[in-house]
Amino acid sequence: MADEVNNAGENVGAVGEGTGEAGTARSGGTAANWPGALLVLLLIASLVFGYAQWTARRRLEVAVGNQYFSSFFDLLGNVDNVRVALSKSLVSGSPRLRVGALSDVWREASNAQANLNSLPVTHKVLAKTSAFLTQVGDFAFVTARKVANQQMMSDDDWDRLVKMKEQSEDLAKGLAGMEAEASSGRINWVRVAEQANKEVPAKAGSKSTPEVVTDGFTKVDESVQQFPTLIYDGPFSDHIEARKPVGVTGAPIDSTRAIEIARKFVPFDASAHTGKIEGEVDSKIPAYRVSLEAPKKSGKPDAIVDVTKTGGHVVLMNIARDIDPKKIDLEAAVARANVFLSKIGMTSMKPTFASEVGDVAVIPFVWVQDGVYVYPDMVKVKVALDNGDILSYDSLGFLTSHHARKLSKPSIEADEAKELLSPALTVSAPPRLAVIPVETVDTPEALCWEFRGTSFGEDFFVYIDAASGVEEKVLQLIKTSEGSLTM
Amino acid sequence: MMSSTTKRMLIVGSTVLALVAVVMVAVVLRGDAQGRAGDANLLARLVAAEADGEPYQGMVAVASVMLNRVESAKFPNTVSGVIFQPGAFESVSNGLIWRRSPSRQAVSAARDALNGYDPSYGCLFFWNPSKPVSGWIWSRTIAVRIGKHVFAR
Repeated sequence: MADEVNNAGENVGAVGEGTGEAGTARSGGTAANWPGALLVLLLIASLVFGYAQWTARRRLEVAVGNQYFSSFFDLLGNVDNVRVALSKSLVSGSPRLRVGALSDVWREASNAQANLNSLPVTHKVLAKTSAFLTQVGDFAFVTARKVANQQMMSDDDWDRLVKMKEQSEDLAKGLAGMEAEASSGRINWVRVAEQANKEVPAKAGSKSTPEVVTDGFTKVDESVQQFPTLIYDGPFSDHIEARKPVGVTGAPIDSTRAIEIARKFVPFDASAHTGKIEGEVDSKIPAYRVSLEAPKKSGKPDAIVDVTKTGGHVVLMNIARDIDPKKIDLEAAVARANVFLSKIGMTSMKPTFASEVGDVAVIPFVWVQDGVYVYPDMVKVKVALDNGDILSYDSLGFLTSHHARKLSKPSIEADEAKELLSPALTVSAPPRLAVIPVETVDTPEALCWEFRGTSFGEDFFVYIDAASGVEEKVLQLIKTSEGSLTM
Repeated sequence: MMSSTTKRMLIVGSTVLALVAVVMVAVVLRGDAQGRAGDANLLARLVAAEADGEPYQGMVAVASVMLNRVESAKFPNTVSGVIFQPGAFESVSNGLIWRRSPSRQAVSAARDALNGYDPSYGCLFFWNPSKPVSGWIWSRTIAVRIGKHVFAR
């Protein structure tokens, strides 16, 4: 035993520091050789440790790779099913079967989108394909609803479905091209993920596995690029993004004026604050970002105020400070917010759906015109519940949609609308008229009767179109674990 | 004699290394007991990991980018899908998101974003220009700069 250790010690010496040391070790005898023995033990231990780590890593890599494989193969199946269901929706003569086929498109497309986005490929390569799948599903859903509503599909709807069918065939073909490679087991998904993280551009000529995957998806994505912009009555339609803000009116202002406006706007005396333009916002609503810095030891908070370059409207205001434990209730907070709004000249606004989260209250106010609640024209005010200070103000919704509306008289009376409600709903408040946002292409808004009611112990809002009697929306009030909500 | 000193140093060195390894394993294994489903919690974690040391507006903007992605057809349609999209966020890839528990500010920023307060004005991307980023990202339209981050559509 001692001899073995001795010999091993020699070897280590020889490897580590040359033969001279081995000589010293031998002449020293076994007693003086314990450091060598320890080194050998450490070496063996580290080898065992290293091997264990290596196998564990291999297992993890395989497990992770299998997850990616599974997503990829599910994606193949989903896209194929989308293609088949789209064909079926065109062939089905009866609304019953067509609705079924369109629902299949919707389900398979949203699964395909989820599976696509869980693959380890850079977003750049997947973006357009992902958007296509979302829109196919969304459009199928909207069309299914239309058909179920006994409405006719328009010629445009037909054209869109046919184009989508063709496009999904191309998509399925492109993916099938990658399938052979994936099935051969030659794709190392972990390597693909590493490559994607590094974002190294693929070298021309080299065909290692990451490039096969990235190239494959790039080709698929390119084929989708040619797909026309999709405009239909759904939340993911391209017209939603293109909507222009209509509430930003007035003459252009300069940065000095923006600072003045910000200084006057904040809910405390900011005359001693240092005002400067911190940056500019280049969005649909271009704005100056004004920072107001409190003088030292003044005890006042700093504020950030975004002022539109056109008209000098305040879009966002935020005051950062720590909040002490709650002292005032939601009702008092709403009153404080009301005072603030009238001070800044936002009259004709009514609070709705105020909620309390932790030590703050968020109170949305909506524009009320002739007793009609116009939900798109919304501003939100955040109030601290320790002393009732205003913490933030957000008028993005208001500035996006506010304009002089001509509200038409409802062609359906409240009583008639009530007849259309589900028998499961017990109405708990008198109905009122409201304008709500909708996704249709022609108009972004609909005038509806708003019913508040309860069903099976839960609170609901149901909106019935005041012109057509169509049930537009059902909203459920969800009580969160923290805070309360009042109307 | 000198050689045995070297050996001893080696031994001490490797012992220290072994100890460090044990400590590191322990740190990794400890994990975090707070991880619970729920959009607000997930968002707060991502904000804590991605926007640590940023001004409050910057934290809310990072949370808003997540929610804008959920609304976009080009990205997954759930908060967890967006946050765990492979390679989307460095702090998710390297596990930082699970090592740092969210500050009160991060939680509050996540709530503000969920309430619709969006200082990024609908942006889908953010990055720190002083760190290396892939070139294509600069082709996006930059909407606003907050703290160390720029936000783009």
